[in-house]
Amino acid sequence: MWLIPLIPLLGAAFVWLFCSARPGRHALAGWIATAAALGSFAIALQFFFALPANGEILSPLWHWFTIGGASIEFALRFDRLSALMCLIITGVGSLIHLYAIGYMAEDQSRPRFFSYLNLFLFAMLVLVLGDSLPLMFVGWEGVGLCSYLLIGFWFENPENAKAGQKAFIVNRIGDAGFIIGMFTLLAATGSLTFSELVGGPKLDSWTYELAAFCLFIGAMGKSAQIPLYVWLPDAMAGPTPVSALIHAATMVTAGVYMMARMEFVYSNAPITSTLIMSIGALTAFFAATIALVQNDIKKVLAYSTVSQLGYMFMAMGAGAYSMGMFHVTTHAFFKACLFMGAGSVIIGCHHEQDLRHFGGLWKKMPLTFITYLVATLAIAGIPPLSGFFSKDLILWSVFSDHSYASKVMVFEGLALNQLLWGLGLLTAFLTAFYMTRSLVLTFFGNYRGHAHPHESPWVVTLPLIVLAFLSAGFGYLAGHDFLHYLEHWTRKDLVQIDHHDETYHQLELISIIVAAAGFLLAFLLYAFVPQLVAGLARSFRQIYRLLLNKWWVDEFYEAVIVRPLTFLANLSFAAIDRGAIDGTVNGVGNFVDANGEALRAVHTGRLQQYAAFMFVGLLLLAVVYLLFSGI
Amino acid sequence: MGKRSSRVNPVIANSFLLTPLTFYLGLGAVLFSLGAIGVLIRKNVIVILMCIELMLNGVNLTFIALGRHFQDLDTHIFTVMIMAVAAAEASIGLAIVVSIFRNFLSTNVADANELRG
Repeated sequence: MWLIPLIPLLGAAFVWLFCSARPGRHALAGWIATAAALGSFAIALQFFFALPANGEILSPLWHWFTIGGASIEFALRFDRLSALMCLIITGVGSLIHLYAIGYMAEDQSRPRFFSYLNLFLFAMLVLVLGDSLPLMFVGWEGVGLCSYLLIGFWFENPENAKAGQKAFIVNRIGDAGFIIGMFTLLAATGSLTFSELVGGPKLDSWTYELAAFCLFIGAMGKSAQIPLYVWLPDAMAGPTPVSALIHAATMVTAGVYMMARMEFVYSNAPITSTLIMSIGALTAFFAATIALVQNDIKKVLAYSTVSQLGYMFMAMGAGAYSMGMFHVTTHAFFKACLFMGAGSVIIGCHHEQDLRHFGGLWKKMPLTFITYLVATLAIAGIPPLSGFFSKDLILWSVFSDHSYASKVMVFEGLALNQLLWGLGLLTAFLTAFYMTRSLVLTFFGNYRGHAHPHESPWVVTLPLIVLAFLSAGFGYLAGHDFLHYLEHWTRKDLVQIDHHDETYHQLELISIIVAAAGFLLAFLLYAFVPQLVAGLARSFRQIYRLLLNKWWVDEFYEAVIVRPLTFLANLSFAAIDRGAIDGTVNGVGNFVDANGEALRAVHTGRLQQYAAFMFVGLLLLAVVYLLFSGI
Repeated sequence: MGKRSSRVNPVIANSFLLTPLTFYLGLGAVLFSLGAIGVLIRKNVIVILMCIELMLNGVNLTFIALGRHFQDLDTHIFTVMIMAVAAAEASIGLAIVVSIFRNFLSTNVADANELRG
């Protein structure tokens, strides 16, 4: 089993060492990296089929360290949850690698790119397969590092380098929470291995709340939730395959995966779960509003990811762990498809990313168009595509959540979870709307750019087609079996599906109507009456600008957090570093130096002067001696 | 200072007693001072070396005189030591003077100030 993460690692090393030396081998880099990802996928698949029912395969590799009474093994765990994640990571990851061969065909530093990409897979697989929190943290930090490297891949542009740093720093904030949560659990139970934690003693509720909350902060950073989401849209600075990989298959799902893995903590922490549900709903809504007006096609998709992650968090908060993971899976398919479709358009239009400069591409890039259309419908929640099933399940589970949230009354008779459900429904409408907007602006109407768009090579379109099929069919084909399959790890969702429930079908109907309304409205508006949209933007200029500038959150952070911190840093640099520390060190030096300088005058090099000093000194000593010796 | 030699030649003792101790001490002090002044003010290295010999002799004389006075032979040992050291010092000192002269083409101490800080 250790082969699963090892192959990408070896791939990374091999590509880096072997292919970067000679330009002649650069073309080979992509194929080797892709082969490594595929090999890993094949082994994961083999394990997936070999996995016993309700079972898990543990592979202890070596003793890592002992902390307190807890002995931490370097062990890998393959159970249903990690099997699912492994397949997503390596499967979608392989497609992304293949796609990247086409996308990065003209780049000068392909070996570097592909070795980072493989390293990313390795780190994510360690995260997913690790059998203990510390090992998970190793992967956690590994993907953080790789995202930094990849987002800032085109580091010649300082903006890109800055985006990489932003992702890195924001994630460190979350990681602090993760570490604190980890130590909380260690202190409370004396172990950090998942199996020991699950079977461990029952803790008191506040310990659960604390651990859950701290771990949630970590998830917030990785999975880009309010208030730590700001790095994700900026991550668009990296090459598109990276965006696809980060957004769909690896990094951002880490937070959701972690919460599903720590399900036994979260199901014992109702207050934190309610908080998570609220933050998820707010994030989903908030990001969707921003996505409405963005002009960069990748930014639209990035905010859409933030928004969809909000859904997953809602599911986690509602205790619908397997449904959340279901959405992770379907989202991986359609979002990867969307990102790579966008990338295909970007290649076709010679690295143009602005929606305003596209248009009418459906004739010129039919394959890209069809796959993008399928994925759009899937994310919009149009049945029977996969997004509909997963999103609908989440909304339903939020609505029928019976935990703490349902006891918090917001208004007379309106519980918090119902309010959040409403917010989620509104978000579903917005999702359908902005995705359709990007679709229409890109593929319909007249071409508004200056390039000569053309269909992409097969390495780009093949992954698109595969993903389009998956995003279309996965929900329908695998839906409920899938949930049953996962429930064996998550043991029990707090919310159980009851197919005979009246509300279940009513809610389903409502979702369909809402999604269809969003789709149709956007289609009509943008395809037929674009003047009206422009007019609306003009008449609601304040709101439009608020959304276009992303609610000024970045500016707010800049003013409230970054500036004071920079000020404090400068202050302590001037006062403590320069003043106290450098002052002391340099002061000692200066003191000695100055005294030496003063005493230099004595060193004339004249022997007789020295002798004179000696005599005078002796004389003085003699006088002192005579005076004080009492003679 | 204990009196370890009880048998003293009375003639020498007497003739020694004829001359007051202060005379020898005074002469020693004068020799020492002359030497010291010479070391401090003369510029010629060789003269300075000679003045050092003078200082040493002043000290030697003081030692001998006091040894006589207190009937103590320890001082003789010191004196012999000083003479040996003085001989060694003279030979090494002259060697140094020769090599200084080769370097600076001068025997003036003021010229050899390379160790100036």
